[in-house]
Amino acid sequence: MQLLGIDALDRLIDELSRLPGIGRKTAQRLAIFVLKSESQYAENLAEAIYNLKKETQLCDKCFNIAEGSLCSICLDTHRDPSKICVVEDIVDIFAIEASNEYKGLYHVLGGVISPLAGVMAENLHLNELIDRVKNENIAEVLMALNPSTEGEATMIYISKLLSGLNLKVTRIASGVPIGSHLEYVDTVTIGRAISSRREL
Amino acid sequence: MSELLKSDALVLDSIRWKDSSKIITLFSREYGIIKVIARGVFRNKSAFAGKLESLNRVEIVINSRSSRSLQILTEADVIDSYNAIRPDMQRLPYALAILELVRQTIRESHSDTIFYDFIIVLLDAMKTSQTPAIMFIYFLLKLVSFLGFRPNIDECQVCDKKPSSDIAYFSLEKGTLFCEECAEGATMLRKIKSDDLDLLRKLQNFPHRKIAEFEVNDLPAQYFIDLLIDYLNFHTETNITLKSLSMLI
Repeated sequence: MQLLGIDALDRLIDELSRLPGIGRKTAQRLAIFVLKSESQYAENLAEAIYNLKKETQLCDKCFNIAEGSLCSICLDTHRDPSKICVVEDIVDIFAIEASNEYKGLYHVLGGVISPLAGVMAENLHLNELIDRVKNENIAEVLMALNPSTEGEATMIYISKLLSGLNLKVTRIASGVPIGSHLEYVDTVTIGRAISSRREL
Repeated sequence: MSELLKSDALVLDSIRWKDSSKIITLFSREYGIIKVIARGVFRNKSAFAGKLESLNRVEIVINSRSSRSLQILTEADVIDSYNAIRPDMQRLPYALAILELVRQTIRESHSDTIFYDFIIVLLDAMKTSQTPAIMFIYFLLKLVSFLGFRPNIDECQVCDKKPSSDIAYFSLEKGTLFCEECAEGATMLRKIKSDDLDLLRKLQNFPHRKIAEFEVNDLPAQYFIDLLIDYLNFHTETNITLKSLSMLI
């Protein structure tokens, strides 16, 4: 790793290059940008990063990012409290929210069951989900986990845990992406799209 | 100098690498356990999308260079994604447990086409099997034999006779059977009922291509799975605990 010999700059480059998708060259470019900017910008950036860690926590209920004990989604009275969408990670909430199609609550599992990677049910926020379903008058649990082997296994596992609780358990559909051509879609996805076809 | 290698393979597991790539662990027919990198797999238009999930059986092409420790996956086509097993929580944990054991007991780059073909036959049979736990015991019996520790469950180690009483003992240490009379003083023993022993003998010698036809009465499956895992751990000096089986509900 080539250092520039300026401790403050080298340190910033080091820290920036730890960010996902940022290589050393990009980190160097960003650090130089900060260096050339006005002092106020550097202070604002540092403060924003500092406050992000200081002023946020995980929501006590759904494990989304929150500024208090509950996140903005759990506090939103306009949302449908009878629906819970189960996701693997916080970033999945951002993706679903961007679609503007879902208006219920969420529950972040914090991963999926992956025996080969050593992640088991007890490592996830599964008990908290069961408690919510039992205590919050939930009518539907929508599973929105990634359609991988581990994601599928986790969805089936959760649906078994929830069976007998008198609620609807659904999962997001998987199939051909909008705007793509069938010719270029892989066989597994086409197979799944056909098996989960619906009547028009 | 790079070369293109082609093989039939089972996807064991994968980890994310950088933003859009995956490092995949494969159990390949020709080259044993190998790790390859699949670039851009998370991109929407990736040719690998949906193909490199654990338990998928794929035909792969690898760009291999001896100077690299991690080879590059250039093509993958799904041969079988075992869709009959995936949604079934009575079958999937056992299928994943097979992958787990392969991952933990087979050394990297140690190829054995016969053992690979055996696993494929077993996974195919598991699609329709009503007794996946028995299939898994069968796999364990064959795995320990493949690793060189075939248990002797035919005669007593001391008197060389088939145990005649209702109970016999299997020694984890010796990998052999003791009848009730000869068991005194032997260590690490597990009790086996004579009916169960007959079934295990039959299972051990059953041809794997016909395993789907194996008919079984009540066998305490979990007891024998634990027994065989303990036996495997003792002789391979490992500490395998099968996490996949904890998914059984």
